[in-house]
Amino acid sequence: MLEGEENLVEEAKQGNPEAFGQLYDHYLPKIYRFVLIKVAYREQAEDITQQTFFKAWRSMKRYQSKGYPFGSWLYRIARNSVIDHYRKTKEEVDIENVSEEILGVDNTLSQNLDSKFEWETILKSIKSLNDIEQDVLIMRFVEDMQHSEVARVVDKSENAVKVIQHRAIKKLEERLK
Amino acid sequence: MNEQQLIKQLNSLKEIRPDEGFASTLKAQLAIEEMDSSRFYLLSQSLVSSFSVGVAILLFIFIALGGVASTLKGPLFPTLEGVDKNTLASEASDIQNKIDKSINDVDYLSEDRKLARANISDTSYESSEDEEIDQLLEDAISY
Repeated sequence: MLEGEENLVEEAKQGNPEAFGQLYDHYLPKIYRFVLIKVAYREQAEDITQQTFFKAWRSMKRYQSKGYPFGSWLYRIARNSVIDHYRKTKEEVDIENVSEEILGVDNTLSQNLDSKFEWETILKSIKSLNDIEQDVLIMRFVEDMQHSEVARVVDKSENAVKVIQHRAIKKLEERLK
Repeated sequence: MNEQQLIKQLNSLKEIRPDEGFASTLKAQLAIEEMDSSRFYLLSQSLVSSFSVGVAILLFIFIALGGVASTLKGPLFPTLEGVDKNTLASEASDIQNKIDKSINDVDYLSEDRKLARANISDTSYESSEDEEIDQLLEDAISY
């Protein structure tokens, strides 16, 4: 959670663009990453990320924290935007043809990964999971979010999230053997 | 690959970052959007509240004047048939009269039917007497 986030959210709700700008700076990489891992194309990820922040800004006055970080709300909007995107386009992504340049991934990423399990393989394996399993894995292990926060984003109980996480990990292990 | 290695691999996807040009362009667009949407929001809020107050005032005046019946009876409005209280009363009275007339007709027809039945039974009695007389005459002749 961003330091002083509650105050920034309150100021943004009053229409302060600078406050929203600070929230944007903090959450943009996270939301973009979440979307990109799910759609696998940089241009689509940029479009969906843009929609997410516009929707958030337009609905800012109606936002209610309810004790959760502002990011939970943004992830919910992003998640729904990705679902809408697939509903409209109905296209399948062939991850084999997606290059580092297309994804906009820093070259250092592939150097950090184990030689056998390169980033393409990881992304391909994540894409083979169902939507909610993808969401849980990304939020838990890429974004280090708490179970309670993930539960709020995906509209499930904490226990359900733990079960989904366990199942998703097992599936990935099987596919990456 | 075990679970620990897998989680490590997933964690390394943190390296994915948006293009700087995209990030700054979107931020600038949001700043412009803010001004428009704020103005629009304030304008729409003001219109909504004005409209609500207007509707409330009109409703109050309408009720104070006595509702639909008295409003339509006024000199400025033509009296609509079926809506006015007196018209409704006269229509109800017409219907009542029609019902009474139908009941009287039914009573008359039922009395008439009783009379007809009595006449038929009298006729049948007379015919049986005639037959008896004829029979007696025939018997007398035969003697």
